[in-house]
Amino acid sequence: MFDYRAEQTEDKTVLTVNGELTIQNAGAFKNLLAESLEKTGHLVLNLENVTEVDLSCLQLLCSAQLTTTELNRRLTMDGGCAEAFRKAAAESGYLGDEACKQSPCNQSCLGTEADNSLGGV
Amino acid sequence: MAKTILIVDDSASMRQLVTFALKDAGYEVIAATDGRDALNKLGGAKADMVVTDLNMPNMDGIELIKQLRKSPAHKFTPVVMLTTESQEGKKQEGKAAGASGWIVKPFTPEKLMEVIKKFIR
Amino acid sequence: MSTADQHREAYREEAMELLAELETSLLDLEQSPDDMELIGRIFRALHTIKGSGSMFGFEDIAEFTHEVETVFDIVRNGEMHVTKELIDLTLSAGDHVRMMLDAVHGSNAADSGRAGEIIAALQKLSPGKKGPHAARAASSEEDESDLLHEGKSITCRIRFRPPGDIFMRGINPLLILDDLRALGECRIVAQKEGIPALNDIDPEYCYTYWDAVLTTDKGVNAVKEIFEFIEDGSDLRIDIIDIIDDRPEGGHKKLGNILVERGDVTPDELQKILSRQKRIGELLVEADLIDTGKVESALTEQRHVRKVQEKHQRSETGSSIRVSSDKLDRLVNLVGELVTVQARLTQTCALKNDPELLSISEEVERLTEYLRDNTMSVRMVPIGTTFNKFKRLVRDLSAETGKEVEMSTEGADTELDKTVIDKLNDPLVHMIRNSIDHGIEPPEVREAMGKPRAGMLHLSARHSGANVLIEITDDGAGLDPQAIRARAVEKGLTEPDAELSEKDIFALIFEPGFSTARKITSLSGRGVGMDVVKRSIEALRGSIEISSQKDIGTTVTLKLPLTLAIIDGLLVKIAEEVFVIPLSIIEECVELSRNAAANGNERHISNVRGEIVPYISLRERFMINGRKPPIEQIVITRIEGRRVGLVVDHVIGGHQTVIKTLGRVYRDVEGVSGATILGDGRVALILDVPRLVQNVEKEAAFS
Repeated sequence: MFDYRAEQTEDKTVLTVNGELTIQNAGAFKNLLAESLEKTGHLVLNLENVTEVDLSCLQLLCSAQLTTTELNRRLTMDGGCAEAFRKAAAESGYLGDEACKQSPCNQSCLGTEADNSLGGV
Repeated sequence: MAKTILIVDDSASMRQLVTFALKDAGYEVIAATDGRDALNKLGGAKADMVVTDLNMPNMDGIELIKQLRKSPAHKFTPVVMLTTESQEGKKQEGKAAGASGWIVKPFTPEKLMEVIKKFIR
Repeated sequence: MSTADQHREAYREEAMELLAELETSLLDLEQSPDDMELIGRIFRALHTIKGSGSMFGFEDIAEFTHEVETVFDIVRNGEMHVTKELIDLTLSAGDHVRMMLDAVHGSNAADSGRAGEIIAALQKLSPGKKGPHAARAASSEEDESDLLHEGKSITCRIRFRPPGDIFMRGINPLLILDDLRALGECRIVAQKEGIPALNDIDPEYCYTYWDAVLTTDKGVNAVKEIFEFIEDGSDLRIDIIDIIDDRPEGGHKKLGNILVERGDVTPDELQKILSRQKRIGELLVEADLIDTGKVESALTEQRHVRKVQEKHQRSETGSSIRVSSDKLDRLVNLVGELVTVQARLTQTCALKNDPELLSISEEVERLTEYLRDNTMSVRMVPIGTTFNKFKRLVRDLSAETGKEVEMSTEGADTELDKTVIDKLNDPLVHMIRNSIDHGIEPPEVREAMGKPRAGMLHLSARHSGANVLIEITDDGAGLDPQAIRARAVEKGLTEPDAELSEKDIFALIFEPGFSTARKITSLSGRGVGMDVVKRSIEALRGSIEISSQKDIGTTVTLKLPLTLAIIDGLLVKIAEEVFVIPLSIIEECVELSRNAAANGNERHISNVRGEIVPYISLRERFMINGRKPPIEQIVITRIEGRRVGLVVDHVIGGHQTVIKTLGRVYRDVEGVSGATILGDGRVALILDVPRLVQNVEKEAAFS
């Protein structure tokens, strides 16, 4: 299960997601991401309190990043990096080696480890 | 939280053996005597993994797998079949139906745990 | 009943039920031979009897039932009709299974000839029996490739593209990656180029694929096994790119070669690019031949192989080597010489008083010290292995004596000089034997006394300054001071009216001639006395002490120097002769005034701050000529709890020296344990003070 809270301000929407971002909820999460991106020019994702992450979630974030670029919008991350997130990113090979950090997808959607956040385009 | 495994087999001694081994390893166990019984029992509970025999009265293992893959709750649940060496055809059928893996009888409790660890952790 | 037995019993009951059901179904089938449901039920019953039978160790039943099941499989597929003969045969097959089950239960053995007849008859009925063992052969070919790499570290390149519906098969690809990592050093790069934008994405589809480089010593089959369940729908390539054993000179592949090997670029493309002068990865991407992900993946592989090779080389040099102890001894000797020369250098420099020379000398001193410490540490080994050997001894002894003993150890990683450890073995064995033989009481006695049945034997080792303390503690009967005293008097080792502390009394058991096989004390040995133990410990420049409480237990404490090769000593001078007294036994140095000496001259007794201390004049002992200085020094040592003074002319100071054993001619000189070379090249004898005191006492007793 997961739940979310969206806070809309003038220039951005902050989407805070809690719970499990796993294959079981992949469809719902995808819809949430797609709808949120449509409504705002700058989507800020806060996944700090996500308890479980699997590959489906990582794929969706990558896809969301791609979409943002296509639509000429912004997607950034806010809040700390959830342990579940860090673990999945490392296990999946999405994040980990030098190689990965340089790839465009990672720079944007998973950020660098150094700043401990997921964000910053 | 302990993960729950559903064991489906029409042989009482097999259910006893598998239940014993799984409980010993710290899992919660639900036991069902055939596919129909299994689906009934899953009506009120969610299993993290299913271990099923193939040849059973009322509803066999293949049909059970198909049904599970159709259900929203167990669409992505690992399902391992118990097969015998002479059931190569059944194994293929099971794989086509969406089985995650298989264990060939006879097997030891260690082998069982080894396979289970491949799917849930 | 064990769990295994319980399971077997459950199977037996179940099989009996199934056999009854089989019988009913067969009889029904005779009435309606085309009832597919009945046929299915019969097949299932046979199948369960077979499948579960193999699970619970009834292989014979499984094998036999399998043959019957095979026939019914054919019937079930409509390739054979049900006949009366088939039903008859199956009924007797059921009877036979029941007999086999009963046989397990203890009744008469089932007749295996009967099984053969039934099967032969069944096979005659069935048209072209299908081989049931078709699935077996698959694994054998894979096994061979592992033999080639047995014991070697292989590096594989793995490209794994799971089926898109992997999630729908209940498989979490991250767990597969995790299993790969568990096999060894592994780098995994996800390839994400296939992931579409949100509009087009199927959130339940797997778009990612992976490139991994894995170095493992588990063999390539272990790698393949990970993909066992997913192999079919996957795009999986496993290539062995490196086998460490076969590669004397390392060398990692060039990025271009890796990409060509992977088929990501052709050699021609590569060649074209190479003719320009830029980093190859950038060039390839610029040329739009491949995307950055692939280059990164290849770079990762390059880094991985390089790292593994480096690690391999490092671990080769970092691992331990065996050196003969002769070589070590020679090294220690050379270091000893160096220490000596260095001492001379220091002395000479001090005289010259040249600042430049002094600083060099100090540097040499520092380095020499490091070198000495390092060399000594090479000889140090943990005492744990010795302790472990005793576990077996204790086990054997407790079986032999019918006593229950639990041994525990502590400080197994405490390090001691190899020579010390080797020489410690026999004394320790002796003392452990004593503890079990005579210390620990039989279980019944212990119970009667309110002690736990099993006696406790505890071995511990710990550092204490430049020494190591080894304690052997038991919770046995303890020593009986009265009995020891009586025994000692009987043997003439002490006077009946001597005033002895408990400690003094316990010390008596170390006297030569005290110990016999008679069980007087809890520590009487088997012919070998504690005096032998004591002598071996003293030979190691160690000391031994006993404390004991009746009915509570005994503790023997061994105090041993860390190493035999070096000694912290005090240099003393008598006329022109220099001697070394081990610092470990020295308590203090005081002046012995002429007056005091004259007073007690005959009895060699001095008064040190009101305490009477006997002394030995080394000048007299070693018959050194020359005039005594007006004020002599007395070095007070503690030997076996008593204070004994050694009178010398001068105390020069502390001196750490490397011990040289004396040549064969001097080996038996009593009172001297070795020699050392001083900074100025002279030889100084190292005093064996306990022995010296012992000899003086002996002579005094006879005079």
